[in-house]
Amino acid sequence: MSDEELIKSKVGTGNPFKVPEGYFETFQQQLLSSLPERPSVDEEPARTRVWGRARRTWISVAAAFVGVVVLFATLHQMNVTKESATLATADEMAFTEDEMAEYMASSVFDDYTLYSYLTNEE
Amino acid sequence: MALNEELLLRQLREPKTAQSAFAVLVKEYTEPLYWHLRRMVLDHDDANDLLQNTFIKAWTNIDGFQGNSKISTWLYRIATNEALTFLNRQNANDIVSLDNEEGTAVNLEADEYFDGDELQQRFQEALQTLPPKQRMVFNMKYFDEMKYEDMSEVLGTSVGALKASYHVAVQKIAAFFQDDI
Repeated sequence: MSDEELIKSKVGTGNPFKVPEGYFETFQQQLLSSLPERPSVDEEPARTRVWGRARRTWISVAAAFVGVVVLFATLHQMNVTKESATLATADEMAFTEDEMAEYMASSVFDDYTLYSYLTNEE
Repeated sequence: MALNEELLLRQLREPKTAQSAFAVLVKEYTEPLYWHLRRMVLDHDDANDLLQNTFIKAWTNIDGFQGNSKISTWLYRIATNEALTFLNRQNANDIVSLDNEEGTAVNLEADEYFDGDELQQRFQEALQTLPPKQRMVFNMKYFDEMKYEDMSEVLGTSVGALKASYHVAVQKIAAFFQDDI
């Protein structure tokens, strides 16, 4: 005989406890007539939902605005960089008169040579 | 007729039908929950208080119930927590006599809502020697014949641990009878 069978053979599974007469019916009536107010499921969450939706909308708008600003800033920055690069190249390529005179002075072609060269060509 | 839990839960969440749906729930579960609590705390008035707390908590927290388990499992879980909290508080306050067995016997003897014989009284004494959670496991299996899987959901303990706990509890009670009778 198992331990469980031993217990069942001694005391069974019956219920030795009792309740006052009509207890369950009375309990149910009293409980249901004195239920506390439940936290409002209509107003509070609804307000939360409205605010939640509005907040989500504002966040979306703000995110889109920031995106546009960043896009413009990036494009603007790219243009500035491009213009700077162009100007820088032009600056680098421009010669001052002094620089040109110096270059010509150091050139292997002097005026005479240049003249001869041009004359021969023609 | 079995409750249509899905429909009942929908009605419980709808303010217009919540109260009548809750009445169905109360009617269905008052008795099983009462006995679940009574076997743990023994005293009728204590069981009555805990049963009220259980239903009030269910009523005020129904919106938090996700529906991941059966409503009955959820109710049993609330009731179980109520019982274990009560017993822990009782132990902490030394309300229960240090001589637990004698205290139980005296209480039951004087209890007008207990009509067990002497053997039944000793059986209750033996049960009171089990730790509360182990006693809960024993009661749910032995008296209610609840499945281990359902008990696992209620008590948040693995099926293996529950089987082991029940086995140990049965051994202790059987030893009590062998020694005593």
